[in-house]
Amino acid sequence: MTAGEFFVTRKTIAIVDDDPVFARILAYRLKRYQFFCESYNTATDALVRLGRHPTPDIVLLDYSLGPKEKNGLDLCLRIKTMAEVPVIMLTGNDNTQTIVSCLDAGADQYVLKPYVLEELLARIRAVIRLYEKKEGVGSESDFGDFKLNTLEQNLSTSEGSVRLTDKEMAFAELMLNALGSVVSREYLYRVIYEREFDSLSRNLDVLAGRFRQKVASVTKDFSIKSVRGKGYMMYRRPFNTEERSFDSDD
Amino acid sequence: MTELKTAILQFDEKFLSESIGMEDVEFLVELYGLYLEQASKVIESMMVCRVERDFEYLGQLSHKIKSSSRSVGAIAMGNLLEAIERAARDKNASELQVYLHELPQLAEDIFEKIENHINVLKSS
Repeated sequence: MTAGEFFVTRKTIAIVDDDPVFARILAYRLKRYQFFCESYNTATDALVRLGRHPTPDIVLLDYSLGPKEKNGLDLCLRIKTMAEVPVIMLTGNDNTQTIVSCLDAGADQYVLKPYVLEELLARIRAVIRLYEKKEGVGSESDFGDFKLNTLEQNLSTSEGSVRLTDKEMAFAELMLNALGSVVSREYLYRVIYEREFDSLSRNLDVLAGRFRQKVASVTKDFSIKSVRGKGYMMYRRPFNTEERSFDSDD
Repeated sequence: MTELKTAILQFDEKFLSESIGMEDVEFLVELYGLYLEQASKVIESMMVCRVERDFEYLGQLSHKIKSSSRSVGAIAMGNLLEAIERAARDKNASELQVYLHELPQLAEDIFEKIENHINVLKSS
């Protein structure tokens, strides 16, 4: 699976860390990669949240929750008895004892602090993927005229179905979620390629062109257009409009 | 004065904005404000621990604001807190004495720099 892997529905991440500055920064960075984030600075707050439905899709849990708090290991054990939710422990120690204790407490993964964002994102994807496979959920999303299947990696309409690459799937999901609205090039690039926007790169244009062709192979009612200086938009073609008449500037 | 304090830039005002990859003034001001609020309280508690010679709690408190100090660019503070955490774990009273003597002044200097930086951000 490539770095461009994505999930059909936006995932919710609960960040549990007694350091509100760290938690806010982490949430801010993850939100830029299309995650919803909730932060909890105490074990008590985290447990209250995890007792409610729907539970978050994943918990990022600090190993050390502060002097007066239940420690991260205890909380991890507790979470695992409460909900089927993956947990990634964040720890400043890379010694074997710490790592073993995290895994023994039921953590699905661990990440060392200070974390490298790309690694953390990869581990988040890995554990969510495992849980979704285990639960058989998240395979297909219904966008009305379109269905997007992450397991089979295809886009389908009533007229047919077409297989997509990982990055095309990511592009499709972003476009379908914003049907009729422009999605900025910067945002698309950052989420799909998981790095900062490179204005000189043509990768996104190539990807959009390829996706437009695939959409055209399953429906004549929708297309993608480039909106100069802004981004891309997926739209429903006006009735009786000629093919590509809206695809003006790319 | 220890090397920890003198060798490292006390407050790197670019660090935070560069690490989050954006000059979002409102967010930066919020984070600096959060840090000042949290760090002031923790340092106050550390001074109480110093009097009570509660090494374990002292180490835990140091750990609590070590990474956020570094996150906001208060590198010297992060390093001093790491040294305190280590000395507390080793129950090294003489080292702790030196580090804890430095802590209030370093905190005051850094907090002042951060407050100045917040004012610059707000007026930009």
